[in-house]
Amino acid sequence: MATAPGITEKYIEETLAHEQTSLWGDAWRRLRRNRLALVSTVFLTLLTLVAIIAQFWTPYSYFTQGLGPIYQGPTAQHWLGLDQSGRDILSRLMLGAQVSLKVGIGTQLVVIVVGVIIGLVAGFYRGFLDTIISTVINIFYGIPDLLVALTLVLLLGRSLAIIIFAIAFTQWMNMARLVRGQTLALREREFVEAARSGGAKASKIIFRHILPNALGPLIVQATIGIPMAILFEAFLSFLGLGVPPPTPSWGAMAADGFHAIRISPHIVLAPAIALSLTLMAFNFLGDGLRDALDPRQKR
Amino acid sequence: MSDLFVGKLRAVRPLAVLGTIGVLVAACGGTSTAGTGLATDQTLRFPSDSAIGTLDPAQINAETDVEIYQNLFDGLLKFDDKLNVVPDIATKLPDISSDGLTYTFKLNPNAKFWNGHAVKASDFIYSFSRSAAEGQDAYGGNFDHVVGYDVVSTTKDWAHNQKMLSGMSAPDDHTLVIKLTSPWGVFTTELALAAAAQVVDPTVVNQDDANWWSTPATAVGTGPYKMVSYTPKQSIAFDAVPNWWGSPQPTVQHVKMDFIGDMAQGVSKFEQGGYDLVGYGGMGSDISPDDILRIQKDPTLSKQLKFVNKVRTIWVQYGFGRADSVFKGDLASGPAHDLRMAFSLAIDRAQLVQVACAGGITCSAADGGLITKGLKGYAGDGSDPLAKFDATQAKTLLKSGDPTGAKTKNLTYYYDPNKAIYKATAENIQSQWQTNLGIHVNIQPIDHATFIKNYTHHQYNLFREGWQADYDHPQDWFDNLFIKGGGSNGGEFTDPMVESLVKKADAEPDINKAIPDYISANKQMMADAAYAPLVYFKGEFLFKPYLQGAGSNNFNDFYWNEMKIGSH
Repeated sequence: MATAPGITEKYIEETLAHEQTSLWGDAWRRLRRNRLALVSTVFLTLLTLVAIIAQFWTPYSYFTQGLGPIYQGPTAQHWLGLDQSGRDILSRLMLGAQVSLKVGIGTQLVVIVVGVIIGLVAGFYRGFLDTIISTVINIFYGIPDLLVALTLVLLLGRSLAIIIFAIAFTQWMNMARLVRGQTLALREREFVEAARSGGAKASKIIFRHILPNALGPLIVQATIGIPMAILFEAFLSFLGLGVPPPTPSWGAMAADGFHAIRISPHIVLAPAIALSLTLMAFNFLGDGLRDALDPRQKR
Repeated sequence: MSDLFVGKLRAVRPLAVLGTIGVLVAACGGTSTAGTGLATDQTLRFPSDSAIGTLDPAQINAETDVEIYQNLFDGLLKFDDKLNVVPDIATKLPDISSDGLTYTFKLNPNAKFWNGHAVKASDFIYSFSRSAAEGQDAYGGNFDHVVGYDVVSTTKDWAHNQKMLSGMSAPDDHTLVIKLTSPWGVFTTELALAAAAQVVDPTVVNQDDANWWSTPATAVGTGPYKMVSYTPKQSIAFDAVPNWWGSPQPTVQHVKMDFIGDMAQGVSKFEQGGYDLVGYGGMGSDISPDDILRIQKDPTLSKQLKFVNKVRTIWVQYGFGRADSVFKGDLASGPAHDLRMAFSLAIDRAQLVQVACAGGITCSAADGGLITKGLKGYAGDGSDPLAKFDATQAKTLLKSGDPTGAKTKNLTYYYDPNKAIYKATAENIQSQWQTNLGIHVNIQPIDHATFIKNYTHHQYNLFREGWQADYDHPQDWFDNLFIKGGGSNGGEFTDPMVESLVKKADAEPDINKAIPDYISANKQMMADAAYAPLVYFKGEFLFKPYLQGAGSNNFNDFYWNEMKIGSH
């Protein structure tokens, strides 16, 4: 039976187009189908823009007190109202977004560098080195995160850099363990065998063949780690151990407003809502990325 | 069910109803002693935001401790609720010799410790000598004009090497004579102070000099109450002493006090009926501004909220002694003087009290000198030029004091965040210095105990300082704080002119003649820009309407044995 020429051409075009799609293109196609992940991406993009704008402009100075009556609710001049010190909540919320994103992303950068290197070394070389590293990871898992972070902040002082370091210090094990597992699996794959038989050096095998193939789960892990770090920083700030004043942090703003919740709920609601939305957005995006980059793990 | 049984049930029903009503009334706490209008349960319950440091007369120093302690111990004299010096164990005010050097007290022969031991004049010699020797970090210095103080105060390990003040003698068990080295107009006031000058039982204290006060069995005093339980950092309880020797006899039979970290919890429990009052145990309760504003809007609760002017001023203190301080030197004029002036003039006190004191409810601007308004030696409303707000002049002075900006880079202001107002003032002045001077000053909270230790050891160049008057005499505001070597002179300030004026005033027995010199000393410190004044305190209290006799004056809470719990 003869096939219609038009159908054949269309089939061939689609087949060729599908075959030419890269791993990342394929992931992007799958991500676009996930509406929650897309909405989250838009929200986080806007949040990033707000954080960048806050570096140069906020409606009012974030540290100036006495801009109006303390505890004042939302008005035309102050859209989110004033806090217990008469500071503009919107301005502080904008700058707080910057702090949250810096902590979230900064922490994950440190976690990636430390966790990936340790995970690759443990998984690739195995043996005694792997035993030592795995033991250290397990020991770190046994120590309460909060205790470690509090101790580091108390010992080293309160600054953004130290907070990022302290949180990363409690999170690197997740990344290291993930990368180790990926490396253990990938090092037995045929393409690694082929590279090894071709005389490739260990560093080349690790960075040219294993790491690129482990990137998907790594990105997912980092994306999920960002809201954890943001929440951790907010908690430290709530305890009074976050970034030093007057730099605003959503956690510290919530702590300041907490006592006044019965007379001025807007003070605590603004940072709490911002924090909740941001955490949800990162989590939805993380889920979406996992589904997109590793469809086998789709829940 | 048989008819007979039903008939019996009907017969007892009225009794059952009455019984139930009785149980319900009792459960509601509405019991009262018939005819007196008083509740049968005379238990007073309240929280404190600070735990106890000590209840030892020789060591006592903190306000919370004093508020409790004054109900457990007695001295020769005491303050009444209106702050008059009145006899306590002494039967009357002392006879003072014409040269002002010899004080003779007659003791009440009925005075006794709750363990039954009678109070003797020799017990006072023991107690005062012990305070002079062991209380050098507290109020032991109050005896520095008593003959023999120099020997006793420098005695090491006094508990095992007991030397008595040679200027004290006991001609008989009920007569006490104290000789001074020079006339000291404040001496009777110092003896009335609830610290250092209370009598202890030597037979008890000698058994465990360091810890006797912390155990109910050995915490023996002469006051109307005695400790019955103590869980450090959690709670403490007291019972009235049966057949107490003094008057009025205590009506409140039990006092229970919880040490809580967050006074918001205390306010919440008060509202739920778990506490009878909030605010006792140290200069008012430190109720948060949020709670105060909320309570003020509540028609019922607002009637239970009281404010009392307290005798505390806080200010920013500069370091004058440390080599790395940019504020030291140039007392009358010069770059450091200009820098200090700039920091002070850049603070708008009107904004400060609005922001830090619940819209100006819990404190007022300290614009009349260091001594709190209402006390002797107050310099007058608006008399302190350091309290003036002038951002333009402040900037000009800053340029003169720090032309390159190098001196004011990376400055840190230290404070103790145990009271909400300290944190609020720290954040506000940081904001004002940044807005009005363009300087970012870091603010560093330090826990209260460490902060006090560090500042008394001159560790800071810019820090919160404050003083709560011990008694209504200006002397109390200078010797300790602004005289070289003063125990609380954390900034190591010293000005020969101030020292000379204070020395002259201290020696003047007539306080009215001394006051102008004290005010001149304060004005000299204003000219030196020795400090940046912040606020005068008010104390906030919540009292249930059924409490009778509860209250507070500028200095202390009213005594527990003056209180009654009405039926409710």
